[in-house]
Amino acid sequence: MEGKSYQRFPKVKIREMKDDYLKFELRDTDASMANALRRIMIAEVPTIAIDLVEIEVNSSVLNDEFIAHRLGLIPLTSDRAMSMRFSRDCDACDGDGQCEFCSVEFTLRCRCIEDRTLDVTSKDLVTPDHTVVPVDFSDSAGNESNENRGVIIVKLRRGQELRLRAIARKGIGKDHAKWSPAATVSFMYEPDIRINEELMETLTLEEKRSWVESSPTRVFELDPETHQVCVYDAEAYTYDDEVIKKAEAMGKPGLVDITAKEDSFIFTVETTGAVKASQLVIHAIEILKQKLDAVRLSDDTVEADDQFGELGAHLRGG
Amino acid sequence: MARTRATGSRSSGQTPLPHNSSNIPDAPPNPPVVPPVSNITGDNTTQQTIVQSRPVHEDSSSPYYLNSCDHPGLTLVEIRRDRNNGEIHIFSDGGRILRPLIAIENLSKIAQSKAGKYTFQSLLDEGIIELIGAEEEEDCRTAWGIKFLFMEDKGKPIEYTHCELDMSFLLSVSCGIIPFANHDHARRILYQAQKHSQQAIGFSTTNPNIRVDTLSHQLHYPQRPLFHTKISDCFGKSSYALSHDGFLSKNECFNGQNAIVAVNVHLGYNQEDSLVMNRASLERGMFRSEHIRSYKGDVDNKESLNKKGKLDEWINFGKKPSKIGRVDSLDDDGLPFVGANLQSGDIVIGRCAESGADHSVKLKHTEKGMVQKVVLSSNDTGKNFAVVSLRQVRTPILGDKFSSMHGQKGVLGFLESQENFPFTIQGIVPDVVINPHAFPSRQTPGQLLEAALGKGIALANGIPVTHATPFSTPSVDAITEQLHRAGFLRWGNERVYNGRTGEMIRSLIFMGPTFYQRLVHMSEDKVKFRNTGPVHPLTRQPVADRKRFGGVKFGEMERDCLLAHGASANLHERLFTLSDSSQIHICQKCQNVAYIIQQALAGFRKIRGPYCRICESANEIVKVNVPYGAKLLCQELFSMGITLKFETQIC
Ligand SMILES: [Zn+2]
Ligand SMILES: [Zn+2]
Repeated sequence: MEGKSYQRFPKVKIREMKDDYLKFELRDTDASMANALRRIMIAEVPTIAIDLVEIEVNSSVLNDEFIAHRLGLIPLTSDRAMSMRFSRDCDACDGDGQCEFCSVEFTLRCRCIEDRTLDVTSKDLVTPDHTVVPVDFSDSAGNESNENRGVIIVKLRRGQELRLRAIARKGIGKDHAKWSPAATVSFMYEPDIRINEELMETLTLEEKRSWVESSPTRVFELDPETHQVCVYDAEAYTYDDEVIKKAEAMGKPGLVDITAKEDSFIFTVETTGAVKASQLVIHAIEILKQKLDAVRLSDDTVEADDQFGELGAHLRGG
Repeated sequence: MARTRATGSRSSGQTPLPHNSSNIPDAPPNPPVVPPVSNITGDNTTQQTIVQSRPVHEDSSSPYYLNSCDHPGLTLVEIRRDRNNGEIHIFSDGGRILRPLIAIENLSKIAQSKAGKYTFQSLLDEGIIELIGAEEEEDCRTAWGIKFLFMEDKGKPIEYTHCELDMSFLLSVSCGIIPFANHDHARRILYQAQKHSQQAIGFSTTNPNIRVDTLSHQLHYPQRPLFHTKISDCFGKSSYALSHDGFLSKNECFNGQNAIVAVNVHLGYNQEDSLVMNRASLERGMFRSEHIRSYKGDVDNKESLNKKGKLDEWINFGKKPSKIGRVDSLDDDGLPFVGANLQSGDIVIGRCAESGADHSVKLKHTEKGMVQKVVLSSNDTGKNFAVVSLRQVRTPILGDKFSSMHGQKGVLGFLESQENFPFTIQGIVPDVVINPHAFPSRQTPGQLLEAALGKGIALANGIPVTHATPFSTPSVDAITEQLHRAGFLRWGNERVYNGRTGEMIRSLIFMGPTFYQRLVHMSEDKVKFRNTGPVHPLTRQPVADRKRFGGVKFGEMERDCLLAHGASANLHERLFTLSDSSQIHICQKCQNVAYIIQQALAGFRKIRGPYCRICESANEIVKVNVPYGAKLLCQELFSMGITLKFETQIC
């Protein structure tokens, strides 16, 4: 038990970054770390979402609960969420969740007076707080059409009215999916593809072509001039085993050897727009650190070191 | 269709009859005519000649005149000749089932130049398609499809009179929308077509706000399945905006949603036909439904009461503190305000009489909800009544029942968090996980085809293969090729990662969008539990009714089970202590039942308590425990003059 360190230094390399999309590599760590990150992004990064709705007037065709549920699912810009308090442990308002530290108030007043249908959308939600507003999807796509007026809540016809007050609060995806900032978070193991060139050369051109085409995604490519099979995009491989099965069916087992690199992951993160994709990853790491800190033993356990030995010192941050 | 039949050729069996023209009482003024002939009864009838210059359906002398849109009613008349009895049967009553068939004799009228310009109505107008009724159908020889018209039987062409529009049209509506129905076991198709389609919660009406059904359900987000069938393409109006080729409109109302279904085990929570659902999907609104129950309360008519002169007993709406339930949500008129949240046991409709008698309508202990609407009205006899509708919004909970379109029903066994599900490389997690054991014995590969086709449709490059019509389904190759082109494994499997550990799962998992229905059987309506509660007044055993807070039956089978286990103490408790435990007194001397004297009668000895009237003694009387049911039987026998002797022993 010589003080061997298992500490690793994971590396992150960002491949592609948009406001709501991020693709990055995570290397030199293992699946537990990658998956912890994924799980935290889905379920534990806090956002702000409408949690309480007081309906004053609702003569629309949808009932109060229906509208309240739809309001809850509207993504709100939540850059403030990390620093905000959960209303359940807010001291300023004794947990009734209505104070400025733990909530944001919205009002919605809509009435259809024309003869055509009025769309009530997330743009109709009014709040004095400019840091927490419904996510605007119009700019990202670039097509500024008048159709794009936000998330439709309900449609009103002449004479119908909707008037309500909504309180948005901080929460996490574990409590309700409306607080999940993640649209899609997924990772894959980086594949390591080795073509057995020798065996490959024994194939006819026709066989090569049918083998390349047996993969549902474009992983391999047949060079039109040299008739050589090469890897076109290794990451397009979905570990579907189709090419391996095809090789076996052709009587050439071992034509290609594909292994998953156990310590390299390619992450794809898409957000609902509540936080930026890059922020989502950073927050997730932050939360993972907080969780590990909670596991770490406190300093007053030094006396128990004869019991835990080096582990105790390690958990204390030594 | 009717009028054609009146004049056109009629064939029964394989032998076509000669053309007949006849004077049929209900026929149009100028019976259209084809060549002359004798009429059925043997008399000769007048001959007529055709002058055809106008379009057939406008020409009153044309056999298709009646078919025109100007005479929608007459097109539905059905005429049938009964050769055996020499009768003609004419049906014009409403409610008969008619179905469209291609009339072979008019098939030649289809003009190449008009290809693509025909509508259903124009084909009807020209008599190319006719509506056949149940009686008329008896004399039709109908081909399954166009290709059957060219088939030969022993070298001779078969003489068909009609042809099906599509082979799947032999199925009913509820059956014809099942994808790949021809791949499933017939029993499973019957389950779906007869039971599950009836029980599925959907969007059953477009005017829910002005209806007062006693009980109605609506799905919040109904969806259209990804696949089409020929029959589902016939839904909706042809004027519908989504009409894709101007001929048939797109299907509209379906009672379910497209769930991403994985066929896999999930920690044992989907054993025995239960299913695991994604909690995040449900929180996002999947299978959310509202349930509206209406309560009716009528009041007396003042005039009619006046005559009887008991104004005191006049029942009217009103809010008065009630002993039977809370009235907090009621307005002064005795009716709750819209939006009020009523709990079980509350008063829904406050009613009282001048005399102070309370006639309020109270919610049962299983009922609660928000007030959706309050309707005040009166019936034909002038009696006023109020209807209060309560609404409940429900999200699926453990025990709720779901079904695919292939008779594969199951109850919700576990709500799993999104992050714990296996995920694909694209980040897709299933909404529903069903157990692979549901397939081998049920023989419903149609569901697997549906999922595979659905995935191909959802993610297809280019124009997808969308049809899943029974009997003319796309080939398996078409489905697998479509999936391959979309970048998936041919057979619908996918490589997934374990959501808990992040490791790659060794086996591939079959996944795809499948149309699932939420059925009306929900555990909230069925939970039954009690510790103690009301008993039946006659037997003194607990009542059975759930609405009356009854008990769960411990029947014979359950009794047998405890006997087999030798758990007699438990059995005694179940069947006696917790049921109708009771005592009787027995005189050990004469072995008769001793009665309890409540009050000493004059002239008798001053005795109170158990006393044997036969031995005239209060000694040697013992109290025995006996189920009230047994005691009741004894008493009934006594009333018939039968005495019973009880041998007792003190132990
Ligand atoms: Zn607060
Ligand atoms: Zn006696």
